[in-house]
Formats: sequence, structure tokens, C-alpha cells
Amino acid sequence: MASSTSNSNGRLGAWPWIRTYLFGLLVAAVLIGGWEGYWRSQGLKPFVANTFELWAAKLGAGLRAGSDAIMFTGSSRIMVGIDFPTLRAARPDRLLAQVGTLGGSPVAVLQYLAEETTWNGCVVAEVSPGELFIPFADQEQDTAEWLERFTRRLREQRRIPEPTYHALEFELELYLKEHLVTFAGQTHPNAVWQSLESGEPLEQPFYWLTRDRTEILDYTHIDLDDWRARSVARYSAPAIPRSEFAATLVEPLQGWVRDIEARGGRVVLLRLPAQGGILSLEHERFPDPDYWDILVARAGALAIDGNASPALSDFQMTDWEHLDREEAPQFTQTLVEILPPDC
Amino acid sequence: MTFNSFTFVLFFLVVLGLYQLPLPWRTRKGILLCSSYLFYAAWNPPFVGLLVVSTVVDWVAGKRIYASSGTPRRAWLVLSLCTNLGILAYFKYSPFLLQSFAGLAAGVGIVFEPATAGIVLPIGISFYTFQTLSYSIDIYRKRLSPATSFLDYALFVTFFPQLVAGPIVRASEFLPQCLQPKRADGCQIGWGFILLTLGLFQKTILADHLFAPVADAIYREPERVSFATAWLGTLAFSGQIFFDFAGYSSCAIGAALCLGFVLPDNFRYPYAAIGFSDFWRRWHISLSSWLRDYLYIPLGGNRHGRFNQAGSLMLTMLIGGLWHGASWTFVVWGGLHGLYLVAERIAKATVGHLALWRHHAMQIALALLTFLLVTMTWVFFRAPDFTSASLFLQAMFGGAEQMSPVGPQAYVALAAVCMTLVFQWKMRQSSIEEVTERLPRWTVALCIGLLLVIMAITHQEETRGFIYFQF
Repeated sequence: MASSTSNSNGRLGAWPWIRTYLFGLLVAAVLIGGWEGYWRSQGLKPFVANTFELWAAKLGAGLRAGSDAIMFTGSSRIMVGIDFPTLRAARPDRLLAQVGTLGGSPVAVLQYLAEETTWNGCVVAEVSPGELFIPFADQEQDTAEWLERFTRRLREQRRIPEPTYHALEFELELYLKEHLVTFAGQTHPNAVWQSLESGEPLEQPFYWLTRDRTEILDYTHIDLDDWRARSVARYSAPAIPRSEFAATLVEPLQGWVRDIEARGGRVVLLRLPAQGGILSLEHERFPDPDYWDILVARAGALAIDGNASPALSDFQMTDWEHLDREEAPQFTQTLVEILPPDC
Repeated sequence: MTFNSFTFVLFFLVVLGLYQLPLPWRTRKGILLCSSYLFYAAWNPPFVGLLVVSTVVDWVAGKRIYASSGTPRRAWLVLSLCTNLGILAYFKYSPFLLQSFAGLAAGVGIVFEPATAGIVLPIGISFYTFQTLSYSIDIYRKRLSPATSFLDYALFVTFFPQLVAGPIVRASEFLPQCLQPKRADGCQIGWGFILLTLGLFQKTILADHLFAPVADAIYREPERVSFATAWLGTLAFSGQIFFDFAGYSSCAIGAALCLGFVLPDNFRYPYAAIGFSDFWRRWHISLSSWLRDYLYIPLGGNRHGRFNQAGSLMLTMLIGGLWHGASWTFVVWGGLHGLYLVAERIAKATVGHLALWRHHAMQIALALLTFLLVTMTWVFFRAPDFTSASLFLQAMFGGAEQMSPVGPQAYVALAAVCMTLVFQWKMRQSSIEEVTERLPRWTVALCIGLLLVIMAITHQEETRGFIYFQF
């Protein structure tokens, strides 16, 4: 058999190579199965990583859906607390997009949506004091950097359209990551090599995402006291001075809300509940009359205070600031009943 | 869609399944044609129209050229040439020509700022344009009869395994394969999948994982390169471009074979070439043979004396360089290869008769010299502009003072380049088929299994496109 028109010395014998290839596939299946099984036996589970691509896909979908979209933006607290299956059952006709970022504030996304002159969906912005009132140096870095990348990509796509098969490719990738440790990235040979070099075993990260970008937290691998202490320490960083609060945060926010709602969109400011040491710090450092009440009075958007609402504040939070996973569906159901019908 | 995507794997399995159904030959060819349009539309659906225009124009022109004589015959050829080259010139070269004109005008003091038209380059346009051109020219030269079926001809232009980056197939090679009903047998399907796997391994592991990160990291900062990094980066690029393009070609030949079609070879261990004539008989063979048959020979070829031969060679290689990309760096790249070819011819004519050249050690030395010159010339192919290219070349000749550190991956890439050279030297008179024939079947299966495993466990989310897609 000639394998090419120009191959003078490359003739193959009439051997059924399909058998050889199928045997090769079998070898590969056994070896990949062994690799997958070994890492699962070590406690690893398949997961979706928190990548720019996934975030950009959600933001892009939310923008395209326009008035049909409900977007969620904020920090890990909203990524943990909102249960999409529950929300999807309550709002079956809406496109739901989680565009929160770990440790991020909603400011950059709100500004971006306000500047998108045709977008008129609903955005639920998490306004937890820890992320909103404390301007950490790197707090908005990811969100701002990701938004810049996203904008650059949109600009590029106006010139060179994105190949139409990319959406399917993205879904196939996600499917494999959700179901196989081998494809989730954590058992990449580089990671395995580093683990061997350092003597540290590969471990399941204590947080990961679902394809909806819902964050899953697993506290079994971390020292909870240490974790809470670090969260509390984070709250001790310098906050926006009260004198500058209105000018630096409230006034711009007011403008973005006005822009979005003037187009028929909706902005909901959601303060997620906190507990324990975090709640005490919120009250101590950010007294409601100086921060929250001003924000609510001047922003011009519907505001929901999770700490003030008995229906929302009575949920379990192991680390004092993130809802426990089992509580998220009920919390979301309660929230849906409070949200306006157009959101 | 690219071969190194899950979408292609699904697409290909569906097409293969449909193609193997017990349907009439014409229907199965129709399935291949529709699949090819779908494959092309996966990038940018409107550009399918361009493919259709190119197909229809050459189909009509081919018939008319064959049926007429004298001036009308020439006119139909000119129409075919103008349409194909016009489309290519507009989409690929108009921004380059405008910018070059603006630069020239600025040189004589005229300020001219061309409007940026934002033209998008249709993927694979250089490849299918050359393919349709060869069809019309071959009919004009009376070396080919026009296709009897439009379906066959359209399939020749659009056949998806080789549509976007070759090999550039001649109608005389492809159309006869459409005449008789065929179905790939177990031998062809199996070997086709083996080639597909080999090609994907070359692309995803060797080009993308091993060489590209090193080349990209070093070429990202041309002002910081040292002697060592300039060589390491360029050697890594020589590995990357070979495995990227040879990998694509293997995939194309393998996918076609699974469907029962045989395509021409595109690579034959080019880094083991002894001299530049030999290199171009081994690198991108379908393009170099196209340039030889449709440009070099019509320009005079080896006839009309050495001076004319050198001129023909230079012009052919300059155009070959420009074919790769609309930039003066590609023209220089082609021009340098032209110079090497001319120098080699002069050397052969003067000292080529000496027995010394046939000594084994001398052959190895010549192969190494060829490889080093080819590698140095890649600088113009990889660098984004002449400033970067000159910084790299200065550094490669010891002109850089700084000594920027390189990571261990660069040395792994260097070792891989050395292994590639040894492997290609060992294989230069042989072929993968010949070697595989000698191996026990279970060894082949085990190797295939290992390649698939390595590709699975090193899978990364952001896949790179094939370098030659941009041409």
C-alpha cells in the first residue's frame, strides 16, 4: 500500500494496521485509566479551574443575552453563595452568568456594564464591606486585568471573527475537565515533577469551580482557625476614609446605576451575610450610618442587606464569610423571593 | 477547525462514519464535499463564498481553455490567473503593498497615510489558490484534461484534510482518485490513524510543549538576547516550525488516507539535507515543486546560461518568500535561500567534481553547515521586524554583550534539536513506513499507545494554531 503519491520507498505491506491501531488505543485506554485511577485513589477529583477563558465565556454570554441576562459580580462570597440550579429553576427564561472573581470587588464589572451602551440586563453586585470598602492593592487586579483582556479580545474579534467552532471546543474541554482528573490540569507532568522534587504530594485544592463558576470550598484540608485569623487580618487593612467614601465610591456607583437603569436594566446591591469575627469587624470598622446607609441612600439601586434580613442571615458559615455549600440552595431560594421579578 | 482540537476528532469520526456507509460513490463524494465546506466554515463562514468563487472560475476557465485556441485560450488563462492572484493580492498583500508604497513615498518626502482597510486574511488562501492555478495552467499546457465532473473538481479544491495548509495537491494526482468508487480498507484506515497520531504528537508535544515556549520566551525580548540565548531561541524555533508543519502534513496525509485518498509527501527529513537543493527537495516539497514547475522552469530554469539560471532562482525564491507572508522579512528569508542555492550551484560547477565531498565525514559536515545556515535564516522568518532580526543576528555572531540566563527548558530543547538531527540523518535515505515495516506489530501498538497517553496527560487548555495557517 502506498501511503503517499510521492513515496517511492515507503510502501507498506498489506497488514491490517487498523488492528495495530486499535491495540494501541487499548494500551492508551489502560494506561490513562491507570493514571486516572491512581490519582483518584490519592484523593484528587476532577474540577474546573478558575480561568480567564471560563470567566470571559460567562461575561460574553451575559452581554450577548442583553435584557435576558442576570449577571452576578463580586467576590468569592457570591461565587459560593449563589446556587445556579436553584436559580435556574426559579428563572428558567433567563441567562445566568457568574462573573465574580476571587477576592474581587464588583466595581470594575459594574463600570464595564455601564459603559456597554446597549446592555440592559440585571446585575446583582455583591457589596461586602471587606471587598468594597478596603482598597487592597491587588484586590481588583484580576477583574481589571481580565476585563482588559476581554475588551482587547472583543476588539480583535471585530477584525478577525472568532472561529465558529470555538464554543463547541470550549464545551468539550469543560466536559473533560469536569469528568477526568487527567484533563483537569492538576496531574500535568510538570506538576507531578514539581511534587516529586519538593516531596509534597499532589493535593486537591481546597476550592474549585463548577462549569457555572460556582465555587466549591472544602475546609477539610485547611486549618480553620488559621483561615479565620487570616480573614480577620485582611479586614484590618486601611479602608477608604469616611471623608472620601462618597467621592471615590458612591458617586461613580450612582452614575453606573443610573446609566444601566436608564436603558431598562437593573442593578441590585447585595450585601451577603457574615458571622462571627467577620461580622463584628464589619460593624466595628464600617458602621452602617457611615458606609452602608450612605451607599443605599445615594446609589439609587435596590439594596438587600443580608445581615439585616433574618431570612438571609440565619445560614451556616463555617469560615464566617462564605456560606456552606449545603446551605447555598436554600439561601438562593430565599434570595429569589426577595429579588424583584425582573431580576 | 484545527487537527489538534476535540472538535476535529468528533467531526472526523462522524465524517468517516458517514463516508463508510453503503451509499453510491457520488453521494459519498458529496458527503466529503459538504464536510469540507463545513470544515472551512468552522473558521469564518462568509469565506466559503470565496472558495466557491475560486472553484467556479477555474472550473469554467479550465473547460474554455481546453476547448479554445489562440487568443481566447490565452484570455481564459489570463482570467483564471487574474482572478486567483487578484483575490490573493487583495486579501493577503494589499495592506503590505500600501504600507510599502507609503514607506517609499516617505523616502522621497511625500506624506501618504493609507487607510487601514481591516482586511481579514482567509485561512488557507495561499494554498488553495496555488492549487487552482496549477489546474488552469496544466490544462493550458495541455498536460491535463479538464475534470469531467464538477463534484470531483470542487472536491479537489476543497478536500478538507489538505485545504488550509497543504500539501498542495496537483489535479493530475487527485482527480484520477475520484473516478473509481473507493472505500478505505483496514490497512489504509489503520495507517491513516497512525499518521494522524504521529502528526498530532509532533504538533502538540514537540512543537507546542517542547520548542515553542523556549522560542517565544527568547524572541519576546530581542533587545535582551545574548550569544547563547539567540542561538538557543533560533534552534528552538527551527525545531518548532519543523514539527509544527511536518506534524500538520502528517495529519493531513493520515486523514486523507483514512478516507482512501493518497496525498503527496511534504517533508522528507529536511534537517539532514546536504546542501540547499537537497533541502528544498525535502522541505515543503509540494510548494517547492510547485514553484519549480510553474515559476522557475517558465522563467528559463537551467536553460539559457548560468546568469539567467541564477536570476530565475533568485526570483523564484523571492516570490516563494513572499508567498509565506506579506512582509519584507519573508522576502529576505526567500532571498537568502536563493543566494544559498546560487552559491551552491557555483560551488558545484567549480569544485563539485572533487572526491573529497563524497567522504562520509564531509557529508556530515555539509549537512551541519546546511542546517546552521537554514537555522540562521529562520531568524527572518520568526522575528517580527528587521530591527529584532538584526539584534538576533548580531547576538548570534557574538555582538551582544549581555548574558541573559536561560531556564533548563532551553537546554532540553537544545538536546531535542540534537536528537532530531541525529534521527533525521539516520532516516534520510529511509521512510517511516520502511522502519515501521521492520518493527514487530506489538511494538508499533505500544508506541502509539504511549504517544496517545503523553498527549492526554500533557493536554493544555490553550492550544496553539498551526504556524502555516497564517500563510
